[in-house]
Amino acid sequence: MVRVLYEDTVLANLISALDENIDNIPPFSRANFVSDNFAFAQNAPLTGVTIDQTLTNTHFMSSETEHVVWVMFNQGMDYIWSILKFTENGPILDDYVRSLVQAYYERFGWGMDLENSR
Amino acid sequence: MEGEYARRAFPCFDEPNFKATFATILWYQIDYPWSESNEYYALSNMPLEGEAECEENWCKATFQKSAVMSTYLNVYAIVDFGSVLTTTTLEDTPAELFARKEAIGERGQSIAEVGQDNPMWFPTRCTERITDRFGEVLRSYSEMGVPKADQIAIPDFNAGAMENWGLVTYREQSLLYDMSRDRFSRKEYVCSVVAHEMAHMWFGDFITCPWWDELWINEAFATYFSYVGLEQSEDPKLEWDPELKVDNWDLGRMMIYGDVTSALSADQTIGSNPIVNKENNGDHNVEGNSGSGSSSITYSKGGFVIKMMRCHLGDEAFFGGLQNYLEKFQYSNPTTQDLFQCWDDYIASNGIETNPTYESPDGPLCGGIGESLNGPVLSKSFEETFDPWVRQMGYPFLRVRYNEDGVLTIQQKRFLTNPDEDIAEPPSSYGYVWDVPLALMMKTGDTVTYQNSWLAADDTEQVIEIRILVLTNANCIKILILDFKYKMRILAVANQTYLLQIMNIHQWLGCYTKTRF
Repeated sequence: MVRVLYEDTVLANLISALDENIDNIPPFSRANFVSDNFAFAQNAPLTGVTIDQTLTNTHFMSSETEHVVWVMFNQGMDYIWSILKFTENGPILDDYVRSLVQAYYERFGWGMDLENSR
Repeated sequence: MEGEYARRAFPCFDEPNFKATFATILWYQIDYPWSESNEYYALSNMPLEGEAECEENWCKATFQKSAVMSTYLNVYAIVDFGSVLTTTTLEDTPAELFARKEAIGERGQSIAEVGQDNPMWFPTRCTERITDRFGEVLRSYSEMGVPKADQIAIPDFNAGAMENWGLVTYREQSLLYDMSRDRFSRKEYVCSVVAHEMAHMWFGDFITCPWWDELWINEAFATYFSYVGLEQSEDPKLEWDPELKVDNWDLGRMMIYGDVTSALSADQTIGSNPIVNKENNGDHNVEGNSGSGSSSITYSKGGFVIKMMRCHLGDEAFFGGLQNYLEKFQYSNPTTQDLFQCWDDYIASNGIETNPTYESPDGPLCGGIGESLNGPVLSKSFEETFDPWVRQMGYPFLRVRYNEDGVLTIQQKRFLTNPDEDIAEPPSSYGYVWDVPLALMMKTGDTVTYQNSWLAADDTEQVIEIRILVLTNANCIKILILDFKYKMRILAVANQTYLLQIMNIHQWLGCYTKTRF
């Protein structure tokens, strides 16, 4: 019943570990990391974490294929989607998430037609 | 009838700590204009005393006197339902599961002759096994005074299910499961609800919260034990029948989906409430019904904290203390303090060695739902350690950083999502600090070490002199414990910085990230 805010070097270590191989960090740890990051971004004055940093920290989602981590990411993104959906940034956000989710889709054998979207 | 509804059925002192035995007699008609002849029969918590006495269209059903119980656990049903009959796996406690004939067929079918295509097959098999799984770790079901473990699915029912002792009531969708058609998530739901309700026979029915402000005495335990009911047993007779395909469920993962996220998100605002909703709650005292306070706190946070308790007590002290608690407070209304005292007493009276820390190269302190063969890991008494977790709202976040000479520091602070909310509100006698369990996993060369310790509430900062430390509280499923199936390498100090690059890839995917299995 705790959230954990990794800072500075500790955070950099985590991210470089994820970058090298996502399985350097166990799936449930990744799920927790994602959930915590989105929660922290809701209160930047308290935690010092902005949504930019949260999205940066969760960029490893581009190689994420575990359902539980995607559930956490999806829950975290709900709020951001809800406030950006009908703004000019909405489509940019959509495109970004599409770029992240590609590996997960390919796990199920679903291809993407990059040329004929929209 | 939980809350204030028993008084609508009969005059009574309708509060959970007025316990009594109930001798129920029901007069009912066996035939109605819409029914085929003589179909209706009566059910209650206890078996019938002899046969119903019928004269023309009216019958009198006299039930055996109930065990000593709270008013809200009374139940009556007059139905023309079909049913499936079975007995529990080890103790042969009879269980009859009722539902509309259109859904499950005639009354009195034996489970041996019911096929998997009957939607009562799966819940019946869950009931058989779960009842005796609780008997194994807590105490025998039938010894508690109710000789049957019946379940009934009702087409129109206001809650998901209700733990009436001896006749649990469900919505149809909470009990019936079609093995060939229903989606998999419903299968987990149905067996979990059966486990939750059957756990209430011990936590809620046999012993009961004194007042609704300590409802967690009932609900947090039923929530946590819904996972224990599904857990593997050491007794080979309690192995799950492979045909049910329950034995490979990842219970830790189910707990994340089911309870962890709702507990964390409900508790990150000053509008939350403590698990024990008596104090430190901004004077929002609990009035006369069981709906007061957030169910995400009472059920999910409560269940999650019980997982922490089991992890740090170890299975011997966790279940041993609970067995003593059930024995000592049977048919009565223990408080939170009574419960915690039972664990402290169990450790003291059995001379169980308690360590403030755990360190081992062999594996983590506990598993996915807190199961642990290790001894207690506590630095204070159980009560001192866990009172702040249950008697004030909120939870901490830990700020983890290396200082310049490579020493790791960890600090705690209450977490809230709204920047405009004051982290000191409403006032708490515990000051919104906790004894926080830390689970660290370290790797030096090829040697992995698992370490658990406590960040004391009165430490403003804990300095850990470890040069290579990777994660704390990293594993959601184990609260603070890593998943050790996965190998961790040494993480060198890296200064690599990521920049978010919003790529403008023109591609289209429907309902991304919404995939569910």
